[in-house]
Parts: sequence; C-alpha cells; structure tokens
Amino acid sequence: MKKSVLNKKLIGKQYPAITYKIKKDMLVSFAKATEQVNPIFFDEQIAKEKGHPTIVAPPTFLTVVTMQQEKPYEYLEKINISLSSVLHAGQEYSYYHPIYAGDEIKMKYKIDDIYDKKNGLITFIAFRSKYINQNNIKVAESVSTLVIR
Amino acid sequence: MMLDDITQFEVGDQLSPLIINKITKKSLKRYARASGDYNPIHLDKDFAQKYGLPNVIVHGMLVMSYLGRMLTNTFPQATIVDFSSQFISMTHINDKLSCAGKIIKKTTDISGNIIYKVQLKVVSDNNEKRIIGKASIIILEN
Repeated sequence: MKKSVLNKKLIGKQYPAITYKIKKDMLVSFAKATEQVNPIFFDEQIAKEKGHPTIVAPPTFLTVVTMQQEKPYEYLEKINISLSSVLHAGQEYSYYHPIYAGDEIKMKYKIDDIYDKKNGLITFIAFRSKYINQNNIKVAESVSTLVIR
Repeated sequence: MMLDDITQFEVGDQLSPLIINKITKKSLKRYARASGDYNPIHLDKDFAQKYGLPNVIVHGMLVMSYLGRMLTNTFPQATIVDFSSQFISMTHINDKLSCAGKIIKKTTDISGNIIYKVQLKVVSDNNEKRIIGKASIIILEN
C-alpha cells in the first residue's frame, strides 16, 4: 500500500486571487476551438439581436481564467505536484449569472479536498473556485478534481 | 428528438445528440491556443509516449465543451444552473464521439418554474464511455 503523496493539511489552502479580463477575441477563438455553432458565442451583432448585451461565454469557458496566466501550472508546482503526474478526473460548474465579453472576472480558489481511493493507490485533489465579476456579482463556482497517478 | 418548446420534455426524453466525427491534432493545437492549456500530454507525442500513452490525448475540457455545446443546442445558456463531468477514460486522436443527454427528472415548483435533471454522456465509437455527466436546467415561468 502506497502512502498518500499529499498532506491532507493542505485542505483549505487558499491561493492568491486571479483577475482576468474577458476579451471578445478570446471568446471568438474559444468558440472556434470548441466548434460552437450558436452565434451568440462568437457574433456580437447576433448576440445583441438575441437580447444579450454582447458575446456570451459558453459553459466551459471559465477554464481559461487559470490557463491564461503567465504560469498556469504554478498552483500545482506550489504543492509539489508535477504536471506530468496528473490527469483531469472531474469538473463541476454552478452558474449564477451570465458571463459576457468585457467582464473582468476575479477568481478566488482553494484546495477543497484531498482523498484516496483503492487503499491509497490513487490520490485525488479537488480545487474549488469562485468567480466574481466587476460588479461584485458571483457569476459561477467550480470544482476541478485531478487524479495523481 | 427536436423540440421547439423546451417546457415540453418528459422523463426519458433524449436531447438531440451531437456527433463529433474526428478529433485531430489540429483540433488540439487550436484548443490549446484558445484555452491556454499547453500541457504537453495533449500536444507532444514523445512526451505522451514517455508516460506510456500511444499518442497525445485530448483535453478533457475540450470533450466537456462538446458536451456543453450539445446542451446549449437545446437549452439557452441562462437556463443551465449546473453542469458537471467525470472523465472516465482518455479520449484519443481520431476518436469519433457521440454526446447524448436524457431527461431523468422533471419537477414544476409552486411558481410554475420547470426544473429538469439531465443525465449526460460522451461515448466513443468503440462504445467506451469517455464522460458521464449531469446538468440541472431551470425554465422560469413568465
């Protein structure tokens, strides 16, 4: 039986908040990369005609907030997890308010849980993030779970 | 099944499915640029092979994005309250995927709002589950 590679005392660890401004062209290229067909995700004119103030962020767009940082995997390095040892095991989103081009999103995140399966052979780590827009409205929350191989 | 009126789904109804015919290396490069996720396991074959994989693997979040697309093809973005995925197996280059959703619960609250629970999955053409997921949808009465 292998001992868990992560100290459970890390549960609750907060990271410094990240701020990310959602530019229109980021939404457009994300929509292209995920092959969106609904124009509200890439065409401002049509989005407006459909009653939105501007281009809408699709359901998985918030993943970009962490990834577009200068050192996107620093949050793992800080707790001595190497990128090559992890796989994405699960992703949960709760949505509270629409997210649009031009929004400035502040992301606050922490280690929510660390747990083992199969008698300690596999360790999971879950990060919980809260996303708050420029008007101080909580727009979403997410839990991202990684499995450490 | 395609429904124009999204209030009319019943338990057991399937959402209109979405087929992803082929995921290429180009799809992964494009997703890496758009998302900022340049993890070499998705882009560098040698790196992936060093970790015992036959080739690069597809970003889980790209596959979840396809699933999200299926969901927003039927339900307006603003009606989605929560959406989650468990990544069950790795998605490979050239995989053909089908994204499916089924209504498993429908409730109407005292104000007449409709709440659906939707069971989601992404399956490869060799019938391996890639994602199992779920979503909650609220259609407000107005």
